[in-house]
Amino acid sequence: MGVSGCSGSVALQLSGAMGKGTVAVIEFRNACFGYGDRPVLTDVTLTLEAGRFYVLSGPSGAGKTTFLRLCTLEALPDSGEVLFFGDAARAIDRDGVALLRRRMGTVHQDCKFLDHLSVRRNIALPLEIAGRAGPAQEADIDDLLGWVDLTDRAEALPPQLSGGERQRAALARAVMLSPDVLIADEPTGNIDRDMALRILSLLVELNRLGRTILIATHDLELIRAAKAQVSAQMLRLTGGTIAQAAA
Amino acid sequence: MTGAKGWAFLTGDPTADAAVPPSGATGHLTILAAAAMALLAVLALMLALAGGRLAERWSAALVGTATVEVAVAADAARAAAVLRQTPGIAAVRELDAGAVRDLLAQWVADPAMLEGLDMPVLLEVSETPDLDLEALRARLRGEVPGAVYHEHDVAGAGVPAAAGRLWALAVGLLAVTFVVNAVVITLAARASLAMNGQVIETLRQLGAQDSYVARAFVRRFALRGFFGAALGTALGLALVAVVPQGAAGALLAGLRPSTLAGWSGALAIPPLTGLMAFLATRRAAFRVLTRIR
Repeated sequence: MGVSGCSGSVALQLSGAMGKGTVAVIEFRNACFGYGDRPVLTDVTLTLEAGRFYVLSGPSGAGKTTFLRLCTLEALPDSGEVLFFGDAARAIDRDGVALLRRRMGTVHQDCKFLDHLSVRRNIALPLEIAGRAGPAQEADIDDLLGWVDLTDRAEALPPQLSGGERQRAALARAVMLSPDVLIADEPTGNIDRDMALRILSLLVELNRLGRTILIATHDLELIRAAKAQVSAQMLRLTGGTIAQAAA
Repeated sequence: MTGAKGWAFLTGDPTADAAVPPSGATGHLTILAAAAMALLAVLALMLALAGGRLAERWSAALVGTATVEVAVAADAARAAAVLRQTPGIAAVRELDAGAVRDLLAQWVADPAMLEGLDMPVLLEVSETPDLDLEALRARLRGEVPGAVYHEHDVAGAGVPAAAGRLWALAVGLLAVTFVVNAVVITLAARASLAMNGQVIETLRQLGAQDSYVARAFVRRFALRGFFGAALGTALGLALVAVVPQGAAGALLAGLRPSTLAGWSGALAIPPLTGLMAFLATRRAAFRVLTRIR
């Protein structure tokens, strides 16, 4: 990935406005990113604070997924900095990245399940990876399955799930380790309206429990619903820059 | 690897193991390849040991002995007397006509050809290191004209060297089987890692450290290498054991080790293969992991 041109500084400080904690969870400082000669993000500066609900919107191809990739350390900025809980991404070694990801639950567009494992095992995987699996955690897994209404699908394999079930299972897996931040890329894509609202309500519930939520979506109805249910901070990504939209 | 880590490696991490999908045919092929290579390694090892034994035996048989050929039977007693008086000659024994005939029979197509021919008289001589060979030859020339002193270690000098080359060839073959085995296991591991790129990416996304991801693959392939090699070693040893020793024309005759140490050398092949698979897969796994953030 080449360094893309950085032009026009758009500084966006998302802090304090809602009276919640001022701890910076993820912080972009003049971050630029591009694929080859094509710049995707140009000079992004913003702070995602603890306990807030962020909705990132923008047209298809605007770079929402790329922005989330930077937020999950899947990619590093070509220039500028991205900090996680105060640590610069570039300074975090591979083991550090793994440990950091345990504090950040992620729901990918394609859910990224291990198709040979049951839904229950997929949901339990973060616990197993963190070496925290055990008989005592079985009840937690049952609770999570109940929370996303998948108790009766626990032993199914991921390919046997519907779109909505996959999204809910991915959500359950993302919160298995009680992460500080939950990042979801188009969590309601390809599912019906009722299921989309059900997933949104789960995300709102998590936010009320103090989790920082960042979702990327181009679903206007979902954005409206989110604004109605929670004091969501709207981020609009266009032309490689992020602007705070009116709440 | 510490003792505790080694034990953990052998007993495995069920969660890490389960995270990697079963590899089916690739896994079976790895075991098969390791077994075939181990079988060849056993045969190469036995060949190397046999070559070593042969070189040693031939060298021991040839060093310190000689034959004195006397053309006329009447000279035999004089030649024997000269030899017995010479310092450095430990023993002299005249071969009887039957022994000489048997000896020569090995060098002619039809032993019947020897009928009616005059047989030379042969004296078998045992030397000690202090023998002055040039002085002995000069004395024989003077006192028993026509007597010829044949040194075995000179005449047969090429025989132990040939056995040594056989040994070197077998050791080379053994090394090649290990290298081929390492290549096969590395390729199988790389294929498996490439097939499971999405799985590795997902595990990393869920917070798996490199060691967790590598462990599942490394353990799987190390154990496959070990069990495949154990199977091939058992087959190879069985093959060596059942071939009749000394059977005329038997390809493997003479390969069977004469000592327990010879047999037990082959037991090192499975753990060595397992170790090699461990190192090869570990290297391949970490190379793949560095491409996934």
